[in-house]
Amino acid sequence: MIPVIQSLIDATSAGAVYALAALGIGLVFGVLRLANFANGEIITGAAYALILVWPLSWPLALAASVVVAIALSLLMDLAVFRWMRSQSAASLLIASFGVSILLQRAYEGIFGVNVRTGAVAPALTRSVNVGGLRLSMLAIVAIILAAVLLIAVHFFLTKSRMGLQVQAAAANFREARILGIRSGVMIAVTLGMSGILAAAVAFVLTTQSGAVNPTFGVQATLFGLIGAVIGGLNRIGGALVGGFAVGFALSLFTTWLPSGFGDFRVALVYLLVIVVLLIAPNGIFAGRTAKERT
Amino acid sequence: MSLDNTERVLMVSGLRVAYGGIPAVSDLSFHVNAGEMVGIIGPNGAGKSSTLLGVVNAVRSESAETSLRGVDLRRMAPEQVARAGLALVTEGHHIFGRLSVRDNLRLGSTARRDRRGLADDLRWVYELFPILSEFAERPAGLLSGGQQQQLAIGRALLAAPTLLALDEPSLGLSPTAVDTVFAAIESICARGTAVLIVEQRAQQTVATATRTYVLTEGRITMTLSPNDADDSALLMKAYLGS
Ligand SMILES: Nc1ncnc2c1ncn2[C@@H]1O[C@H](COP(=O)(O)OP(=O)(O)OP(=O)(O)O)[C@@H](O)[C@H]1O
Ligand SMILES: [Mg+2]
Repeated sequence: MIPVIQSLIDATSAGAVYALAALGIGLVFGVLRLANFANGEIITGAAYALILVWPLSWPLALAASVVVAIALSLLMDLAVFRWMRSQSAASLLIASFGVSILLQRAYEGIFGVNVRTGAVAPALTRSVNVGGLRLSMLAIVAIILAAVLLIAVHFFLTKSRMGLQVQAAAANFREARILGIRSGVMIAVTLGMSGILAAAVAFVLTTQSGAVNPTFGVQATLFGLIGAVIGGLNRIGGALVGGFAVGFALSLFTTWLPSGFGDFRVALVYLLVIVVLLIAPNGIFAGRTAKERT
Repeated sequence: MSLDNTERVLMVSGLRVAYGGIPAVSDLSFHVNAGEMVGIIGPNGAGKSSTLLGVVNAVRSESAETSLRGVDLRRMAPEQVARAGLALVTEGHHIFGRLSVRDNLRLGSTARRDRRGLADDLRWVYELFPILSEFAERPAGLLSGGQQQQLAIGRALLAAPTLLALDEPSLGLSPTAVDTVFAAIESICARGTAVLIVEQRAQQTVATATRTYVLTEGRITMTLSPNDADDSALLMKAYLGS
């Protein structure tokens, strides 16, 4: 029973992290029609900031990771995606692969090919006893962090003036502009939000691993992207649930698959994706909004 | 506010719009004065929507002049044109279906800072279209086509535009819904907002508008006055573009 509960909490925490990654990707796709693979390198940049700055000062490290993530997010738009606004989503995705590889090479050049290690928030790597259960502190913190960020994003999007405008821009960018909604501001706000979410993902992952290398963020982004696609890239809430499902499933496969089969967990996730997309090609949650965009 | 009837609100001269090198609008010139309702009619594919989209720079366009109360619009982004005072209700009234009616209306007033004026305008829009106040909390996607059109017009009005441009507001509406919309347009005009309306309903438009341009294959081929509204032979000719 106890290992079951522990594994469910671990899975929830993994789900929470991928939900954050998928939400960042889904928000950006909504407004820019950009499925940004280079989101991985935003996570990596934030992870380097955490690992390298943490020994100096932890508040500085947290601030640096957020600043680096937002800056990278804005800069890659300014340097590349901005010039491709009228291009198809497919072209943008391909360009984002280019940006991703370029940044990986840049990290290799600056920080070396090897893994850089360092303790980020070591206090969280312990376990705590809750009613006789030994729970990983980090799993609980990850769940709380994700919940707080998701609620914050939700309130921002639905209650604030600016959030409403972001939603309008995501639903119909041209129409939003015709109403006087400033496209540049909407894009910057969205990229900024995705940067903050990437920094949060980097925090949980670096605390967990205590290490970073140039391809650090790739896996989280790949699964985040898959989650966003399963949930329906067009729906912000859908992306979130999709990301959670992928993280949850991955974690459970890791725990419950017989040893030796562990390597198949990723294959199983892809199998799940294929099945979902065969049944619902636009993602699980796409149906109800399909008409709104015509 | 008293309006001088000869005051130019919109001045368009030599407008061209082309898609991939194929012209949709060629050398178009027209104007709207303060207090006027001006119509543009023409058959499908004549370039009516392209004209409006070209004026607000939602599609690439060229012109010798496009100005709103003397302000040059040509180098502005679509959102700047809106903020300069030109509100466009696009063809097929694109409302935000997942957002509530109230939130849709709120999005219309993005650039407004005068709270008092906004509250007055909102009251007026609710008077004009009572259904919007009744269904304020509903997702806009659940409204009927006519109600969505009313929402789109109400949303545009909340920007307190100098000029309201409407692209086929009667499209797909029942006869009663069309009457509601046309009656509203007349009140809007009477309240001091100049109106530029693109329509397929020739008779109704020519009868209501101060002046109606007939657009055929991207060019103005005729300018009609309300007196021409009952001359069905003339309207037919205008339409067939002979
Ligand atoms: N985005 C576009 N890309 C390419 N061609 C276009 C585009 N939009 C319009 N056209 C073409 O430009 C011409 C004018 O179209 P437009 O939509 O302006 O006509 P319209 O008068 O509004 O017609 P309708 O009454 O059917 O709305 C048509 O031949 C149309 O096929
Ligand atoms: Mg049209």
